[in-house]
Amino acid sequence: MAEEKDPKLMEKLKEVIDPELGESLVDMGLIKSATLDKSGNATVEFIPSSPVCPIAFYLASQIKKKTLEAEGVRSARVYCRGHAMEENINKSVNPPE
Amino acid sequence: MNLAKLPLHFRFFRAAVVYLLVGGFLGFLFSYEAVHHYTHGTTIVSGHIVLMFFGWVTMTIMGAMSKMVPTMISRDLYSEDWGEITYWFMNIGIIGYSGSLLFEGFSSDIYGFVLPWFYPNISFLFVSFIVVSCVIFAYNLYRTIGLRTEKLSDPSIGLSLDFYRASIAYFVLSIVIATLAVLGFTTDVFSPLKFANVLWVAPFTTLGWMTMTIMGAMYHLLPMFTISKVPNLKLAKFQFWALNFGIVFTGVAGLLGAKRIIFEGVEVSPLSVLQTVGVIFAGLGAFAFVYIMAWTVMTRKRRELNISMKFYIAALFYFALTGIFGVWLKTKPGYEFAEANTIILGHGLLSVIGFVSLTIMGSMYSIIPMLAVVELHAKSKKVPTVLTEMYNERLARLSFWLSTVGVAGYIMGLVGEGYVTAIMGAEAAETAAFPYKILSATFVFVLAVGVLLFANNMRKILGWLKD
Repeated sequence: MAEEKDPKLMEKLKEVIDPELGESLVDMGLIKSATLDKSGNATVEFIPSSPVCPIAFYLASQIKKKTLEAEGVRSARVYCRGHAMEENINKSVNPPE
Repeated sequence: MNLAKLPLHFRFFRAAVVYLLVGGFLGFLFSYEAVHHYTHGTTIVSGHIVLMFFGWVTMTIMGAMSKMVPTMISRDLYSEDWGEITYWFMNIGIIGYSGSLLFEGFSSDIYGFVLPWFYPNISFLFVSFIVVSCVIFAYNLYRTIGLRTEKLSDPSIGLSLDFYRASIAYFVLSIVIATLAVLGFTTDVFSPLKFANVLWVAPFTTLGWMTMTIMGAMYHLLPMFTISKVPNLKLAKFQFWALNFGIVFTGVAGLLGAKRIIFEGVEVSPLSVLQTVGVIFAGLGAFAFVYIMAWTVMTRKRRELNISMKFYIAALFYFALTGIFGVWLKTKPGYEFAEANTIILGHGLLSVIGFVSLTIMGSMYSIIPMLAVVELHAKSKKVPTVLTEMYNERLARLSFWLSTVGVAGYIMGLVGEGYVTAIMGAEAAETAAFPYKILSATFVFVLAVGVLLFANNMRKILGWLKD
């Protein structure tokens, strides 16, 4: 089943560039899903280019920043998948409210 | 520029580049006949080797492992304090030991001064710093990763960790054997290693420490740069074990006194069989690795190759070449042909410059900027949009071509010189070898310019971290 990808969020996420590869995460197919509910809560899942990519922390925070800038978004949760440190990354980018 | 508070791994990298410049400058001088005439056979050459092996290669590996290995298993380094001690002991040891060797070479070997009786003790004191530092480094890493790792998010991480565990073990083993040899224990009549001298640690250092570390790194860096996966993990595991068998068999056979050649005709002994089997396994492991890496590059999602990948592809080509060359040198005709000329030197330099140094240079072009981004982001400083903003991209490409072509030309010069010497004999080949010496000298210069451009780019990257 194809993952859900909200077009507005995907358009905004094109602004997140992987500094190592110089391309947007969207164009590289590294955004696994991007959803937005009626209350404006966005959820984005991404897969870094490697399970040991050192800049995954940075990418997660950039995705969060750009998602929050998208139209109609009130809150955003970002999840990194398939990284050696995904638990730490997800905790740091989604602090308890 | 205030870089005093640089994290540990950046300081390892910075020191490594400085040692590359100093040691490389000496190597550059040695390649010229006028200098070589005076320095050949002196401890000045040993000083250069210490700077390159411990200063350039080992400091880079230590810095990379101290940061990348804990990240792979989502842990912190077991002890930052032990890391600091490793860093300072290595620097004291490298500067002191290489300095004492250079001083001994100039004063005693060239000018004929008689050094005081206690002078070797000074050298040994500095060697002790290196030995202690290596043991602490190994202890710190093993306490970080343990002997087994469970719950890995990706099996290829486990593969890389296996390579790192093995490489650290070979490194410690090399240091122990070298220390025993330097202390004279291996010349004791009761020692089972009585035939061994310090050169016999070569399989453990070149294949075990340097090559295994590079392979472990390539198994996760190369897929990262190409957005692909290791295509065949079973073959990769076979490759890991084949190389281990190769290193252990050739290493043990050498330590117990096997001759340096295989395929000796009717002269078959258990040691020569062990050595032959070891060379076959090492060859299988090496070529399986090149095959897997080539397969990974061919199936990549990302078409454009970054600067690191370009260095890797050149390094893998040289690695395959040095493997073929190495097997030929282990045969009787090969060894006899190359024994007393520059062909053996060409093989050694193809391995340590063409494979090891080019891989490290390529890795540094990505690892240092990536880790710098992490550091800049953590300190809420400006982060570059792309890593290539952190250095001069055109000079990086130029440094790649100059270094790669420089290695090729230098090795061709050495092999050509060795060939005419083997055919005509040393004295008769004086004139015939001259064009090859010119070729070597020219391409060493090209290589040196490539290294200087690389070092300048590393300086620029670290400059982003200044306060």
